[in-house]
Amino acid sequence: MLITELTWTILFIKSGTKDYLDNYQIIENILILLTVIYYYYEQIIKLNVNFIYTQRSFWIVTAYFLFISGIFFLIIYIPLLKKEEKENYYALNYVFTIVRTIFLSIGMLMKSTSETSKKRNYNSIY
Amino acid sequence: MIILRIADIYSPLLLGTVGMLLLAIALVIFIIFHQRKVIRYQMKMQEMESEQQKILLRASIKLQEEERQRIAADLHDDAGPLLATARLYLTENMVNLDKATQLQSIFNAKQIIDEAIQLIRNISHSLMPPTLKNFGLESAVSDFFQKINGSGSMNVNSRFHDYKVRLRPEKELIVFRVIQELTNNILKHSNSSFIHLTQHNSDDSIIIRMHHDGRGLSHDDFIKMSKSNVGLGLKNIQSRLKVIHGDILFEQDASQSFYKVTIDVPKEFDEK
Repeated sequence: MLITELTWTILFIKSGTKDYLDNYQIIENILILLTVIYYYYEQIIKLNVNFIYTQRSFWIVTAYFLFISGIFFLIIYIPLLKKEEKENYYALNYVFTIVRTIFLSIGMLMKSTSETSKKRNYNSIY
Repeated sequence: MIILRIADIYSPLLLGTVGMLLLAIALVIFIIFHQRKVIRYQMKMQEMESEQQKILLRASIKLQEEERQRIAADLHDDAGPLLATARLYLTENMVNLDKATQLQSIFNAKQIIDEAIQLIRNISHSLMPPTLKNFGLESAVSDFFQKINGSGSMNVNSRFHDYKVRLRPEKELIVFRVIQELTNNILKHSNSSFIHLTQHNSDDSIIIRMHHDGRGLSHDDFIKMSKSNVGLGLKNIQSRLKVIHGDILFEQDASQSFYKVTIDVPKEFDEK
């Protein structure tokens, strides 16, 4: 958060116009992608008992990962496109928003792993 | 509905998006499969470990039973007949005998009872050496080695460099039993001319090292034998050391002429 805020301020001071918003979005997406990759790296290193796809966080992170990967080039190219081209390519944004929503829904509908382990503990007591 | 034209499909934007998406999907799939593989490997390791625990437990039960059988045999075959003979000397008939014969019978019975006492003392000492209990590991090891030296077949000596603070009694007994088992193995299988035992202190553990010049084991041999059905003594060493969180390493000297066995026993707070 602090890094993005700092970047935002630097870009604003440097350009003095709203154009910095395009650059800001690219940087923000890169930072999110890096965070997501770090999350996956942590999951690989951590000695997990449960499979990764049984975790709610995996579906949420993957939703954003696919969404940002999908619209990344759209964000880069959108300032260079003409108005009619923009309308054409904006379909990509809708497609990936649907993908993101589906993944988020799966994540939200999943039982959290901590709940399952609690139940197991109670079962073992009685 | 917005439909992209065919010409647009080959635009850098679309190609970049497809490439990026493929990379993302490949990464997610790789992570899922890699994690599955790691979890399966962990489960396999756990299974192997529990199997190893079972083998160790079986070995320890078997050894306990053997020890019980040995004690039972000692009591039944040695102490039993001795006491029965003593009883024969001290029958009611004795009152009808003359005084000299009575005295002779009492003397014989006394001798037999003394023998029985000595036998029971030996059995008790083999269960828990009194030197270990009263004077500690250093004295017990040197006492044990003196007995072997007494036979004249091998030169056995020990040197404790820094053993001012004794380990807990139960720990000392385990270490002593491991040393006994290792020495017995060397005596039985190695055909060596000497055994040299040294003790050193590190910050959190005591290190006991045994050298001998006979045929020895490498650490791989030790692991192999302790996992197989043979090598009950080695399994027992492993299970005893596991109780005190100790470690053992079998290796050959750099000169290839000696074999070394190093036992590492972690110290607890009050043993430092």
